[in-house]
Amino acid sequence: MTDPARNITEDELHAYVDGALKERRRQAVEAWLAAHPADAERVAAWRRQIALMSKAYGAIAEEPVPAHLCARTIAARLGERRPATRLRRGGLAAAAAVLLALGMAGGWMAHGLLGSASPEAEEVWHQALSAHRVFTVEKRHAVEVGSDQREHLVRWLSNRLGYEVVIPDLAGHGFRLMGGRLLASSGEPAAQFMYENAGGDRLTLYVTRANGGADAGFSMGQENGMSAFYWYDGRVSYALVGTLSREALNAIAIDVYRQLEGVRPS
Amino acid sequence: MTDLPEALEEHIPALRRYASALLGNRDRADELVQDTLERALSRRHLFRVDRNLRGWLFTIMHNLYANNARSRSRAPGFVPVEDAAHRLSDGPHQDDHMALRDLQRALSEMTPQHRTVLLLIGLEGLSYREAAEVLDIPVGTVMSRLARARERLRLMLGDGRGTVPAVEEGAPPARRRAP
Repeated sequence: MTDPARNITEDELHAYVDGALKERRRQAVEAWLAAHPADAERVAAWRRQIALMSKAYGAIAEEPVPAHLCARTIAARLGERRPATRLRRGGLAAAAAVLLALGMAGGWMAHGLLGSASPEAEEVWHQALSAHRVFTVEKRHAVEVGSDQREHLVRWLSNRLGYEVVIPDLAGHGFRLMGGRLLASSGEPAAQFMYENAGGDRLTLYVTRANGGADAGFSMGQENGMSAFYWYDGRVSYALVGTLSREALNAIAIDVYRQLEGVRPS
Repeated sequence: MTDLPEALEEHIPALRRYASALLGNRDRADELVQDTLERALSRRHLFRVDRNLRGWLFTIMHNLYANNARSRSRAPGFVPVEDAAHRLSDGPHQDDHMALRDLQRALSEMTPQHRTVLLLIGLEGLSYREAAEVLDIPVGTVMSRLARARERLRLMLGDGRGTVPAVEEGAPPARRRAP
């Protein structure tokens, strides 16, 4: 009899335990385990681990949820605390739906930030647009520190901004990091990261700890052919600026947001 | 999705379970759950309708956890694990009690990378792909971490002799016995 399962991999043993194998491979693994007691014992031990975890913590999910963790209560509290700053147009929406709403809203977003952004947000937003306009036209001095010195760039700007800066990766959108520079934003240090795609389009991400007012969701605005998404999160203000279509910039902004989610000064 | 708070409710028990296992402390777990819910609700416009809500919540929780862990990384030692075994209301057998305590200790001694992957897959039943999205790593990395974590846990629990030593009376390996 030929060994029915001589190609069983370690990954497949785990996938077997986790019920992630198709029927044929499942049978092959079972045949393998019948002939290989040491592997069978490891598989059994992994199953015991899972059973033990479930026994140790399963009961927690059966308990009633404490009142302070009720999502509706939290939502109500958030709503009271910062009623005006969230971008409501588009409802619950996914950013794509927000965008749709923006499109329908037409010309009233020609200047400044959409919605009821705080004066601080407007200030950061304008600084980001200015910095974009000034530096993206530079050929040789577009950035102060190039992406070939990425570690230095991160360390330097982290020191100046006072928290662990993370530079988002936009390769998935066809943009590579060129580098970054230090700027001043109303007397506070700010950083600008610049990206470029194969077509020569440039994007900048402006980051500063300057107070952006209440914690706010995305706002978006356009000026002089530039579009910018602004958000304030965990005491850091962000603005992503570019001359791409709103749709394209919107998609990138969501990705940047997700990559930076949870990054905040301690 | 018409009402995010309502849609969130069904996931809160699992978030509490995962956070408790992750942190080994019920109070801190509930703080993490609360932070996660606040973040989700204040970022509701970022939730894509086509995205799995459970995965999104675990992603937010993981990012908050990883960020907190980073800022605490210089603190000496791991936060002491609360002995939750005694909380089981129906009075567990002594064997179970010890096995659960050993599990909690072992989890607390693991690296966060190993602990997260073990719990997301083993306790929460996420698929490899879902876990990869939550942790923002390739599926292949999930698999290799999972394999290492399970073997590590097996050794830590002394579960490698063909019986069920994790719930066995007798002389467990000395390394499991803290003074």
